[in-house]
Amino acid sequence: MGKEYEQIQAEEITELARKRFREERETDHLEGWFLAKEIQRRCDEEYNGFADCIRIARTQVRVAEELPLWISDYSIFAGTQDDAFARSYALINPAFRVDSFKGYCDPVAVFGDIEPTGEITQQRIDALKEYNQQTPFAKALNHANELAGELTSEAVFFFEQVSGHLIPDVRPMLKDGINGVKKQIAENRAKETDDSKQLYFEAMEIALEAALVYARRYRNLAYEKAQAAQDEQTRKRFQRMEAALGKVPEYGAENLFEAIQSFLLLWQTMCMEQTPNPYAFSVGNADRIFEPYRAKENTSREMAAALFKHMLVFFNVGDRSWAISQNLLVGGKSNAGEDLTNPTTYALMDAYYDMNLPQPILSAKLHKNTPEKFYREMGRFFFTPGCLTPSLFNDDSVFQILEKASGVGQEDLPDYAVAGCQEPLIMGKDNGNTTNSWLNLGKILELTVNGGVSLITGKRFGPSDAENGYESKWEALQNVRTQFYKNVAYYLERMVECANAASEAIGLLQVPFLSTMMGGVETGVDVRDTKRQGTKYNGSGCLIHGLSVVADSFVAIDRLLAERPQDVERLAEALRTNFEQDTELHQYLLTAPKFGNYVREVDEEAAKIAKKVSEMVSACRNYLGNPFRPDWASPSTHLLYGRWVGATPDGRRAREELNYGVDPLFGDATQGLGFRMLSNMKLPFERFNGGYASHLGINPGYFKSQGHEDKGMEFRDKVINPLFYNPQNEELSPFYLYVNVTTPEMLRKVLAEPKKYAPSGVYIMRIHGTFVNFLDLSPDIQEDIILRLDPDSASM
Amino acid sequence: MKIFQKGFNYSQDGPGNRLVFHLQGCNMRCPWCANPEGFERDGALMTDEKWLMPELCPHGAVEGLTLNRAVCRECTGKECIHVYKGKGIYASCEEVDTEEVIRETLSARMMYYDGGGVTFTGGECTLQFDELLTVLKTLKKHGIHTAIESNAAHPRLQELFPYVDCLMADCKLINGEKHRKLTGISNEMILQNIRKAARMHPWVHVRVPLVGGVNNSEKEIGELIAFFQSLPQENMTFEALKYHEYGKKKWRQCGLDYPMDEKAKITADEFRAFRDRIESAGLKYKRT
Repeated sequence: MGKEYEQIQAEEITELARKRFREERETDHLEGWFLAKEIQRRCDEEYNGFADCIRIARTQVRVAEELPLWISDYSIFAGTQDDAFARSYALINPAFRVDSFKGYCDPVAVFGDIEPTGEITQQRIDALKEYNQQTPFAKALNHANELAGELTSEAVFFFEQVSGHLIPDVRPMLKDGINGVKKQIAENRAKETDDSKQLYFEAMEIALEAALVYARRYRNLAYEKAQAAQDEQTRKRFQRMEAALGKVPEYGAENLFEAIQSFLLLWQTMCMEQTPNPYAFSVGNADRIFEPYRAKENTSREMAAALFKHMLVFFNVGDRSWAISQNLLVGGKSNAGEDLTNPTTYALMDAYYDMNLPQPILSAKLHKNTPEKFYREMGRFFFTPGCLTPSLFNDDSVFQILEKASGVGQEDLPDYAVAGCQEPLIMGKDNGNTTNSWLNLGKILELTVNGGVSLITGKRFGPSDAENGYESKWEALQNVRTQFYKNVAYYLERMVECANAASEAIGLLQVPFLSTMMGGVETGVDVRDTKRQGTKYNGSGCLIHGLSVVADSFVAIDRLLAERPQDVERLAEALRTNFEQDTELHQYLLTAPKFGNYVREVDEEAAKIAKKVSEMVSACRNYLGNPFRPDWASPSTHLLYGRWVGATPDGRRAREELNYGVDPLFGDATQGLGFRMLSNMKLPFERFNGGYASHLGINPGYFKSQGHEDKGMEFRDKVINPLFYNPQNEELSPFYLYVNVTTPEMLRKVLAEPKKYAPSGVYIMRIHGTFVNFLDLSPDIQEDIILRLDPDSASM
Repeated sequence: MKIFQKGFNYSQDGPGNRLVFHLQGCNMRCPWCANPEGFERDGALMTDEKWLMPELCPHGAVEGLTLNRAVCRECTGKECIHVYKGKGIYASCEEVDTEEVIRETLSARMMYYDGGGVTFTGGECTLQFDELLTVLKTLKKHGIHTAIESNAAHPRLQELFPYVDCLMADCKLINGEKHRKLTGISNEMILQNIRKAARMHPWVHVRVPLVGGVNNSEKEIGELIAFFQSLPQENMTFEALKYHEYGKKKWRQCGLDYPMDEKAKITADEFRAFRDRIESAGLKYKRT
């Protein structure tokens, strides 16, 4: 930061950040995306005849030129991503109901999220919606939906076009500025002989201009704010902003202040390119990105934290921080095993702790040599009620998995970062299409056990037992595993077809600006290109749901066949009637062994299912012929998809949620944390190169040390070391965990008396890979968080 | 081995993170017991009112929300736990081969961190003496830290000493008559075993359950302290455990009336005073 800025103290900068956040939380309407879409529609006509990539790049510039911009009185940096988002993310909408969920694959659903206001009339909304219904993208996406037919109607699988969910590499742009990157593009373009790539290089050059337009316009606004300032300090603040905008992002940043300012405008431009709702763009290894700029002027920890606070506020959009799952990482190791924490690591942690915002989400990369200081400083997050908590990654395992299962080169391993919730991708080099497809093993189990008929609606989705060659229900259940995997293979094929069609659809919406940070500068290929690979690494994600429900059900069926074979038909009827007429059999099924209690039979079953289904998913190929990546995560979708799954032989009732990620179904693991960890460690993590999810709800009462720092060490010793760095574990160790250190009783108190327990209106909880303001959530999701604390499964 | 509960805890029953087995059967009947399902050597039938239903017993023992245990006492088939296996009626324990216990404890060694290991408690773990001895010997052979929590009444307790790294012994009362009246057995062997352990065992941790109306009078506390002071102190630590009612529901689930009342409760001041007495007597107090 420029030394002259030291005139404003860190405390004052912090206070401005707080005011800016409060101001943002008062934003109860978001129309920028709508205006941008209207500009896009005009540009579609105006630039008709240009190649798609050029038209899109020019449109970007026009959006930058025409979109209304402003700078808050409380800002020290210019820029916003508000205009890239609609108020439409279901899970953080209190009005959301689980049974209303239809996936995110409707290309014009977003037009239902804007209310007519002022000059934006219903007529304008309808007209734009109608236009967007007819675009090639919408048609292509509708084609994908048609391929799915009825299968998504009951969530056998889902698929979506993946916007966001990437980690751009901003480092070259911060270092050399847009001019430096343009120069690189020009050099590569000069060497290129392929016409289409030549054209794409041109498109990237044009798209980069959009960020410069934003900078120029914000610079003028900053000048005006400085001129209008009522006091000297405010005037200087806006003059400093104006000066920075005169330099970045056009040129390389030379201090932390400039680096953050540059970063924010790059982020804004990148998100605007995908408006509306490019969810889960992630920052990557932020401490390593910003440390060189902090070091240039040896900015103090306090001042660096104060500046970062404004950066964090930038990621919060509107009244409920609608832009979710923007992941920011600290910590980690090099290939040689050296710890890569630095002074910026701790400044970022200070900023996070002090602001306690719903976004962006913090993740910590750990390894066996992570210093004590890091654990000590993490303690405050885990042991302050209502405070955000970092999700935790085990570098020692992730490096191995990415290298072996995803073919990542050693030189890129330290650069892995997290897109969205928990999906490990290489920063700037990996288009993982992480949320492209979603497989519901629970539903497939239901269809398998019930002869292809849905227990929820009675619709037939697959062949009957007789058509499968089974003469009786007994025989069908004897062969339940064989038939289940056959069905998985069948639905996987259908799912992949749809998912690839969705990728083809989104591929029509080229993203030349983003591509400059995703390898496009070298390849001249769009990051979304479905015919040529624009990124060094590419794959498509498949989020797999219902592991423990299926494992528990197989074991329950085995037990029934062995002990009560006469009750096979009774089981079928009990499932059909949701156990309502047969409580006795329901009890019997509930007492069968359940995953998570260190019972060999069922733990091994879960491990087998995880291995086999992961292999089946990995054998699927995406639009470029690259493997799908198995990701055993369920970002609240265990709840949404469970809604479409009938009663299952493990005793789970119809429409109840499925298990979360690779965790036991809530209430089923009753033997405490030690056994739960042992069950968990049997899973084949080396196959989970798409990621996985696991959560522990831990009672803070188990930690007896005094003070946050010592509790941080205790947390390391009781949770992290046994799970991640257990010297006795001969298999690949788990690599992901998030925790909520609280109790169900505490959360019920917060809901009952929010003013008492969350006077700021913000009480952060982790919900799958992201954290959110607990008070912003729909009641269904709040209840799910409370249920999944599942204290008996994590007792110590 | 008959086991009625197992699970990990951290430093509550021995050092570090420990896998704790509760073995079925107890030779005492302490009315304040938090694990009454562990009383009977052959286990108890437990009920859960939420799931109790007539279909779980073909002999008609389920009457509304209760189990007619007179019917159960005559029952030889025990279909409720062998056939129906429901949540409404279930056995307090399961019988597991010692080989299986050994396999499980060895396979779980990943979790014995921070100096942890395996603890056997109860009920009274020494009632299954031979099985316990077999398992302890094997665990020691494999270098696993072992502990037992015992009422110290078993005449062969000393045989276990070489295979137990941490011996936790309960000491409730010094007055033999009162001890017999409240627990059902004499404390003669208990005191003898504690004296022996103090001399011979490298790590003895004596626990006193402090219960109102049982052992919280000046006289009884004085007798306990005096006894403790009479022991060699090098390898001894002491701890008081405050009476609680966590086991109350389980008494009902076992078909038993909970015999304690409000008088059994101990105030925080009372508890602190007892702890202070131990420390001021020159004894090493260790909170687990």
